[in-house]
Amino acid sequence: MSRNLRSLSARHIDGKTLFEALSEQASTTGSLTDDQLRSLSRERLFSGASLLATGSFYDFLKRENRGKQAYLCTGTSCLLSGQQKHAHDVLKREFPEQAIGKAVCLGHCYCSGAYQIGERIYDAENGAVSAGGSETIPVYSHTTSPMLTDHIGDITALYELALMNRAGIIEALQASGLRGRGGAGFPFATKLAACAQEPEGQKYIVCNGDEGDPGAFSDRYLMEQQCHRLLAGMLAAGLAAGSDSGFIYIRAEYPLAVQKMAEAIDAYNNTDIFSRIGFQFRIIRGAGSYICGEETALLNSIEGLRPEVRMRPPYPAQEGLYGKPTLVSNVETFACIPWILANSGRRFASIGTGKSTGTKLVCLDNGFVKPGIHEVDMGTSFETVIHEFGGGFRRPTKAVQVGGPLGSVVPVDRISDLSLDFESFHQAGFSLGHAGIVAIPRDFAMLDFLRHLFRYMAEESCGKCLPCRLGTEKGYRMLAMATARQPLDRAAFNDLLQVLEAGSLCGLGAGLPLPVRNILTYFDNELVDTIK
Amino acid sequence: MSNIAYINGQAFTIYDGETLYQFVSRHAGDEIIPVLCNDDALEAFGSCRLCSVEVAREENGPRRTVASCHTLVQEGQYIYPDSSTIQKLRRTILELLLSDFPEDALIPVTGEKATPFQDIVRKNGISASRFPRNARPQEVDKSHPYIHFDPAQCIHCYRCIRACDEIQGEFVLAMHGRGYRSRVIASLDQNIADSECVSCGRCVQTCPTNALTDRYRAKTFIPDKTVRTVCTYCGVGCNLEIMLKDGEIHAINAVDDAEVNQGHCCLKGRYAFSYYNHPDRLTTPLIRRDGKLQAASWDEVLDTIASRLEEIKNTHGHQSIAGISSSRCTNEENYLMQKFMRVVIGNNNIDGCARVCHAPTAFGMRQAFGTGAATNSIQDIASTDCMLVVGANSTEAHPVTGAKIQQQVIKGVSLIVIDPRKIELTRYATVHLQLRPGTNVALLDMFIYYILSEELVDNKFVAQRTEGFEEFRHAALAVDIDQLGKITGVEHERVREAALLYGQARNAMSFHGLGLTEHYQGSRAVMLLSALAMLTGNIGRPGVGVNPLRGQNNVQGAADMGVQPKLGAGYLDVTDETIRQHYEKHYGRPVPAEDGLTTPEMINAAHDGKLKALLIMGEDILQTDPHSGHVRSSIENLDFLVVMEIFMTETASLAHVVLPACSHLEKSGTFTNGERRIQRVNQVLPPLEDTRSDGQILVDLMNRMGYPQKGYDPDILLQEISRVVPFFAGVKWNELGDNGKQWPVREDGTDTKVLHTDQFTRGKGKFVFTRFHETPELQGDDISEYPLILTTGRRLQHYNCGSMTRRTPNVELVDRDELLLNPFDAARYRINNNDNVEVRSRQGTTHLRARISDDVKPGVLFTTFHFPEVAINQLTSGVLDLDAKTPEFKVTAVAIGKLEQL
Repeated sequence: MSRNLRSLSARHIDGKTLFEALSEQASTTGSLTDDQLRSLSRERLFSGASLLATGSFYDFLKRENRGKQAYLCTGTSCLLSGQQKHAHDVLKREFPEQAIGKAVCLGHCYCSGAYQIGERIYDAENGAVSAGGSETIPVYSHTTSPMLTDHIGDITALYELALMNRAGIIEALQASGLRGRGGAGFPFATKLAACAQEPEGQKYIVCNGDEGDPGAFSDRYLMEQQCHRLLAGMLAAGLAAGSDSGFIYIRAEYPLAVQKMAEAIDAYNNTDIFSRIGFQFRIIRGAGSYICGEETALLNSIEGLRPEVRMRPPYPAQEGLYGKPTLVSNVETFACIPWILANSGRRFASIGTGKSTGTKLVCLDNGFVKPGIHEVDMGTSFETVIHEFGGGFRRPTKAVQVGGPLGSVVPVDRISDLSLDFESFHQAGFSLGHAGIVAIPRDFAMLDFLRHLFRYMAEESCGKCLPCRLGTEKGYRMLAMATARQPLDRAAFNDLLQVLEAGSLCGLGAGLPLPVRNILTYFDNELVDTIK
Repeated sequence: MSNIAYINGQAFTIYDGETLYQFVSRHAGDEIIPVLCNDDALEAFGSCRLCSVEVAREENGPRRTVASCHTLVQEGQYIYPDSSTIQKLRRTILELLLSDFPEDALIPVTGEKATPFQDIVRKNGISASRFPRNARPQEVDKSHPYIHFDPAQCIHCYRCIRACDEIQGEFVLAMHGRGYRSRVIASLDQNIADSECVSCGRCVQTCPTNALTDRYRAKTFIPDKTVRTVCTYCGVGCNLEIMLKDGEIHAINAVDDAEVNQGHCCLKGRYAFSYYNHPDRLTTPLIRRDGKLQAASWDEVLDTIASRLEEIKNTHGHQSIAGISSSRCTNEENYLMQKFMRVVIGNNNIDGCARVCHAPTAFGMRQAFGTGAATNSIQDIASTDCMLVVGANSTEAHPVTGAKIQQQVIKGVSLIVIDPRKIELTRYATVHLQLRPGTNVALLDMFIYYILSEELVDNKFVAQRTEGFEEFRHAALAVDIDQLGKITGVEHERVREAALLYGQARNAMSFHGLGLTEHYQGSRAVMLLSALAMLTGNIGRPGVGVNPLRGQNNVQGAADMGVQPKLGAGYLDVTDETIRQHYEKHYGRPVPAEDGLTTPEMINAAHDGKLKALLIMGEDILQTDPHSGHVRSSIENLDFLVVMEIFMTETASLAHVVLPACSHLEKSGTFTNGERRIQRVNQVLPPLEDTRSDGQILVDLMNRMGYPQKGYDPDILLQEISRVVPFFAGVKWNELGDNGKQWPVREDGTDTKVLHTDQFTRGKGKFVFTRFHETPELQGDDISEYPLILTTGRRLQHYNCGSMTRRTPNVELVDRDELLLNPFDAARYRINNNDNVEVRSRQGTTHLRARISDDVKPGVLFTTFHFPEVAINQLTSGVLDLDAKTPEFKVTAVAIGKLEQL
């Protein structure tokens, strides 16, 4: 992270951000040309090299992807569904091969074989165009206190909840026990209080809508269908922290979410509340990079720097966006806030296990009989979630991966040991993450699954720290070359996992060993010939 | 337990804000934690993770692995910097790196020392990797004359990129792509020669492998001798570490612990040293016989000089001889030169190249404050809130200071640039006032008008510490602001904006260069800039003041040593009887009372036949003084010209005697940089062949002419100087240390970072108002024949007349002077890029290659004066600064026309 570049970027803080300017330029030509870079360089005082450094990082800005017209989803669910080839064939009928790119993940894991053309997303299984996509997400509520999936009535009433005094908001959130829904489960009120305690001055609220994990589409759902809930939650947290400005970072693979959130912000801007308090929202649209879901990379992305992970400390609460105190949290976390303010923190805390409170949106992929979004109480037995709410598996299944590609791999025979809360998973050597669940079919080789995980991370690693940059690539190459005749050196592989886990700068490298070790533990018999 | 943490169970004291790495290295040595991405000159980055350590809250408690370079040590913490877990982690990281690293690059190149990376790999006992090898790029970028890049040896530590960003501020290097496939690029993924690289070499110095190297292999060179000395390429005074082998200089590194440059320098200091033993070096004394310069012995030439000077003195009187000293020479040599003229020849006809650069600064600041030197120190750049840079292209002419200014401006410190050109600093400047050349006084009048009318005056400071304010205020408010706007070509609203920035800043600091001084009203402009600082109370504390940027390494020192006609060593007025007694006491001979000649006056006197002999020490006045046609005919009119030089310059070629002097690398002494810092110049090599230091030549002459002067020895000379020059009272050769001392140095040896803290040297600061007067150069009946204004300056790659840098690979970067002209003028005169253009002034004509650029406004042309083929000073005018007699290099009325293609 360069203080100099950040300071130069901040010179245009009120107008179009540098990242937006880059994306806009790229959208006219498909990527950034030398002339565009030179002209932006004059305008933004960034050197051409610094601009190219940023542009070349993103899938949708880099020069290699110029001229792509359609993108095929290579996410885990699409891979496991077996529909990728079919989707590719469909696209090949319409486009020349060089016009077909790859994207992960399009967030349509409840169907299979997804692909994107322009601003719309389709799927191979249904063949037909899924009109607009989002309306087709099946949504179920299994709670007596639906707080994320029920109908929003009067939006003014929702926003008025944010007008409570600052201490009151923090108190209610403290009482609620709300923990971050993005995966790490950090107590939200602690983060908020840290930001609120910083000296008064410019502060920012940033909503992390970069839901890149295959198997998760709950944030997409919230950003498409529960927009005001999210905005009201950000507003309340923002006012409590002493901020007057919120950024919503939405990944480029979610065009409909960008559109719906923009419409919602327009509606908010027309409310009486906006004219009274002046809190502003801005949408930043991503450009194709998984690491932007890491909070410090996301902040760098908004600033137009390379979205490489920052060292911590300093934490965003002290030195975040443009160096100002910043509260970064996930979509679902913010979306819980209005219900808490309307119903009290204590009521929220009464749902769940005491340590894991409230409800959770669980995403089930196309390997389930009832794929879609399920709102369930924290603490619900995992068996119930999988077999009752999800209706069980559509095909013979050996394991589920919970919480994205860096989430744990739970063999089916351990499902009955677990309940849907952070502690239960943690104690059993797993992790709940954001509770997006992908079913791994029995006939899908675990070696291939490992290759998929490593390859995914090798492609998405920002490359800043050596353990992750080299560990993901070399791990992938070891797995790719492993055969029964030339098995992989397990001691070296274990050392590599250790370096990834203990040495990585962020959760991408540090998180990868968890599913890998789960697989090595539970599917040893399957791998015994190739990993020795 | 407070302020204690444990390293492997042993308790040590913590400093506030210390990282784990700093804490452990301080107590357990810097070998225990290896680092690759860390460089103390750069911010912590945390990418290599090799510095990871284990920490626990309590003894035998659960341990966590953290990167020590960016994690602060905590009280009571238990730290395990080299546990078996950590050692294994480090070995695996190195193994991962080795899997892609060229196998043959793991051991040092034959005859070279190991890189930090090779060292770490060896110490950790890694020789092979268990991880698969990927194909790596093989092509080495050798496009640049100095800097080479081998991407196969790049370990992605980002140090080069961070050095280019955090130190040089150029952002030429960056990381391209992401993850494993990311790679270091230059500019828009170009080779280094075609990129915007300024060749400072800081990236090479920090690179821990041989991915980035220079042609001299400075990083891994094994010298048999290393000498620390001071660079001679500008007034910044960077410290250099010169590496020798078998008596020859092989490579140079910037000194990390140097207060002046902290491991940084520019391409001239770092790379442009090969001039020193260039075949063109003069190595034999020459004497003119039969119209030709022919080899002679030292005794012969020295005897000739002594007898000829005596003869001329006897025939034409002692005023018929003059001397020009050199700002490239040491303080001790300059002191000897003025002493030679004053007590051996017996007149005050002594001047130096400050006359053609900063004499107006010395004069103007003396008038206002009492001392003609920078009020503050360069380190103050880090603590100021606003900088005003007038007529100084610091990123090219004073690159290390320029980089420091740029670093602060990028981070948000406001910057006002007053310059006719869009120099590099204007890229980040808050306000650029692009005035018409020659109108500094008009612009500063506007500036001052707004300081007064916007009530930005520090009344308390003005009342307590200054005089002449009321009169000044009255005159300053009476200007016609609209008319001044027309004269300068700058909108007055922009000037008002700048005045508000400067006037409202808590601490504002100004820098100026020759763009302020080399003018008809140069000294007056310096007085106005000084007045501006006094009006706003920006004097006498860190982060403020008036700070001239000195063009040559020892401009400050030459003036301090008395290289000017009226003021002797220590700026004492020789026309004053008591002062002369002071000098006589130390010199043992009377000092003449009669004022002497400045350089332009010497040239005119030679022209008129009044001056018969001229002794020039290391200056090529034919190339660097204005109106060279006039200079040439004047010199040719002399009976006797002696030149002490290292190369056969244009001027030397006209001499009757040429004395082969030696470069600063071959002698010791002191230089005084632009912030009054007296630094030791240490002899790196013995004088080349039959050459002698300028100091020794002077000593030899003095003795031959009957004045007993001990052999050239800076230690002994400084003892004499410290008695003669009041502000050198406590300067002792052996006490200057590595980083020197800033004058005034009191008898007890303490030095001074900021001048005028309680009162001005002259007591109260003096306000002097001046109205703008157009230079005569732009007037006259024939002015319509010369419709354009030519202004001149330097480029980064070359130094002054270029006699040194043109004899280095710097010519591979820039091999000619070019004419910059605005697209409007280009169209008007139908000139295209690279066309050969004739430039004509009242004084002369030359030809230049055109480069079209909107860095200059319509009507203004710019070029440099590095190459004798162009000899731009044939064109420059004879107009002098009204007070200091400095030539007006910066404004010449010219006409241009395209030449037919050759």
